[in-house]
Amino acid sequence: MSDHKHDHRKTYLNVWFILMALTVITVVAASINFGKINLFIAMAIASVKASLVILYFMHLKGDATLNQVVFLSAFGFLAVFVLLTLSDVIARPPVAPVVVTKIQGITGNQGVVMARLRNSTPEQIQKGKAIYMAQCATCHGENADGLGPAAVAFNPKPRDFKSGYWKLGGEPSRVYHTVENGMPGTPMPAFKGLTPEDRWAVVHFIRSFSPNTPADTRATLALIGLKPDGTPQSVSTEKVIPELPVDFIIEQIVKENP
Amino acid sequence: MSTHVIPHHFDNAEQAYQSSKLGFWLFLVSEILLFGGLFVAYIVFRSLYPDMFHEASGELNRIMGGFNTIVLICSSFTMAMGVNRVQHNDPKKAVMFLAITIAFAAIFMVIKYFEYSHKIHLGLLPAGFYHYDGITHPRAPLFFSLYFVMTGLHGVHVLVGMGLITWVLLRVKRGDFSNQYYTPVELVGLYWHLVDLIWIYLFPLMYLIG
Ligand code: HEC
Repeated sequence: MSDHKHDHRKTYLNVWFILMALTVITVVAASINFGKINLFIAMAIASVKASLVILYFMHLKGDATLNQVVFLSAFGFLAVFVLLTLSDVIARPPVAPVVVTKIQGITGNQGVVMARLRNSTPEQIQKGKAIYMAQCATCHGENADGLGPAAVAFNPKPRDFKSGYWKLGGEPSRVYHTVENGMPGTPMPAFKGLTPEDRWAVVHFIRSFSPNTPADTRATLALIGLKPDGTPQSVSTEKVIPELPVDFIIEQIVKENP
Repeated sequence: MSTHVIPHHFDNAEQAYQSSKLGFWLFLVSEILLFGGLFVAYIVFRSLYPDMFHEASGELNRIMGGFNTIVLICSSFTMAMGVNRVQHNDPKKAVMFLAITIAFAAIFMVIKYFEYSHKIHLGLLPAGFYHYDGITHPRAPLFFSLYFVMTGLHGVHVLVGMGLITWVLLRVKRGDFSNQYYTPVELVGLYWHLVDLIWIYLFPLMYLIG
């Protein structure tokens, strides 16, 4: 029972006093905004407090060297733990962009828009014709017979929309999906640059003269993020949003509610 | 005053004391690594969602957290004094200091109780139990998962500490210890200081962000 013979009470009182003062300083420092160094200040003060507790209250100062090594090793292990884990986190690609593309088909408001646009109107067909002539006619032909000027160069040939043949399918939502995503492996490009309104317009235009126009099915509706009855998905699919930074979501909300 | 018998596998009292102490320091290392896992989770998520932590932390009550910090520091002080009094053959004062330490611990838990019930009332709960709409960030439940697990585990340590301090208090009263033998009191003291130590980090990390 070696080193506890002398009285430490005075030291305890001093340490207690310093710890109290440091606590007040932490709280005050936290209420002032120093930007990024706030965290650094808070951790520095906490570490001074922790050191005081360890050295004087726990008497690590003056304890056997073995005990000192053992206890301090904990912080060494902790550092390994933190650094290895963080190296993984830092090396990961940012998540946001991946989800941004997903969000387009399914946010609440956009879902409502989709459900509405799904039903063909004469105005849409009118508008779709203009878009078709500008975007599609070079390949699919001005008469939609698959004989546009560029068609010679392609294999497979662009679709003849008057034939009634569909490779993927002629349901409105399926055609919409084809126009949005293209047909990978064929010359049919993905028209991601068109707005949903324009895409629907051109879909309704093509289908307006096709001899084969099947109705939407559960599966084709799911392709574009709508429920089996053609209504928009509610909150469940919106769960994807949490991956996004707040400012992006706010921007998105502003965009959707002009 | 009963005299302590040195276990037969030790050469002498000093060796028995040093062995117990080494064992206890090792235990404290494992405690630090136990909390360490949670601190790592905290660091990772905070680096991923700094704004969310900022916003969610604002829901915690700084006054209560700060008051509890002071309470724990005082309790660490009275604990150190209690151990000191046992080492100096002053059981009367030792019992008093240990009792005050328990009282501080109880105050800490009462305040935690009020904090928790307020959070539960608002729906500021972990993960799927979360149902509060005052925070715009959709990842806020994560903060409260960390908050409840970290302060909860710490709270369990406070409760265990209260039990242990009560135990050594009763033994001091019974006259089990003297300046020749006080290992259990000292080790419970070390444990209690560790509980304080962890709170010293929890407080700024949870309550004082930004
Ligand atoms: C670069 C030439 C090209 C352009 C431009 C083009 N397509 Fe196509 N498209 C094709 C080809 C080639 C195919 C046939 C692919 C196949 O049969 O595998 C095709 C097929 C299709 C199909 C058939 C899907 C199915 O299930 O069979 C649709 C619908 C379609 N295109 C719509 C459009 C629309 C709408 C536009 C304009 C917005 C457009 N395409 C512009 C080349 C083009």
